[in-house]
Amino acid sequence: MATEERFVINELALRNLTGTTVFSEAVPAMENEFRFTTVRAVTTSSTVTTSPRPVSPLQSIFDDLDRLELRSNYRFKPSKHAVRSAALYILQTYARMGSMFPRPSFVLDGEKGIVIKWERNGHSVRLNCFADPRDADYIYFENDEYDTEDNVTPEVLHNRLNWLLQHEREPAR
Amino acid sequence: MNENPLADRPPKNPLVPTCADRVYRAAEDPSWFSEDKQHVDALAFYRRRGNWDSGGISIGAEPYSYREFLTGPVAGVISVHVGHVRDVVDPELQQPLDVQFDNHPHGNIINVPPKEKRGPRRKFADRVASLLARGAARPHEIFDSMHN
Repeated sequence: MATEERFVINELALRNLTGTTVFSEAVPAMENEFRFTTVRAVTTSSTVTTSPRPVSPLQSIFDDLDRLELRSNYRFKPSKHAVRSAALYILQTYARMGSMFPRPSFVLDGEKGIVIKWERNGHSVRLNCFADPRDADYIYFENDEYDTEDNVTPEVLHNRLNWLLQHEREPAR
Repeated sequence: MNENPLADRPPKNPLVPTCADRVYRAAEDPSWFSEDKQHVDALAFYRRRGNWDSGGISIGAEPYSYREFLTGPVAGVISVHVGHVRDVVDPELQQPLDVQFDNHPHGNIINVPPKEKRGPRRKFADRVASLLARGAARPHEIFDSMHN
């Protein structure tokens, strides 16, 4: 993870954990930091350049999330709450896992919510981010069996993704 | 006696497809297809509460039948194998899944549990949707852009 990216993640995570940042504040700050990397000047000790730089894994994930909003028709367009929740789950869990964070994909539920999903070797983890803040998000996971987890936190998601990655490292015999 | 062996077969009920038949479901969003375009996501088989999916999960008899009953743009067409729908089993499933036409070419996958946002039945709806997506469905056609 680039030093600059690590700094921003730590900063946002810290502000959120200490209560000085809520979802609605964290995401715009995050957007400012991550969104326009190709045009932002890169400053080094001796030179300033405006050339594009490679998009980080985290930036690439947020680009996918942005595209969801742009391409969707009215009924499927995710609510602001769903987008913010998805972004914050990813940001905070990425901050814990770094390069181990598996790349997710996004699916729209037709009720303005977002499902963040990860799949490996027949195992899947699906985080349901609902459109309405009154509905509690949850994780559904399955292999041969299946279950759900409530009270989604970055720690819960981190543990569930470790479960997914563990099966990737140790496939069923 | 008629010597034609096919003559004794009962006539096919047009409202009940055979296990070998395929039916088709409109994909209402591009995200219902995997990035490699080889798989269908479980969300294509979530039965929403309210008026949307009151009779079950809508399907059509032919790939473009959806045009007769759906006005909005779609991202593609999902092929659904009727026999594999009937093969879906789960201990929680009180009645087996089936495919029936109610207003040909429109039909439904019936007995699919509705999507729940909370409560003990929530994971069951997720499971059945996942089994349908993985076991009975595959992309039939993915459009370059959303259209009807």
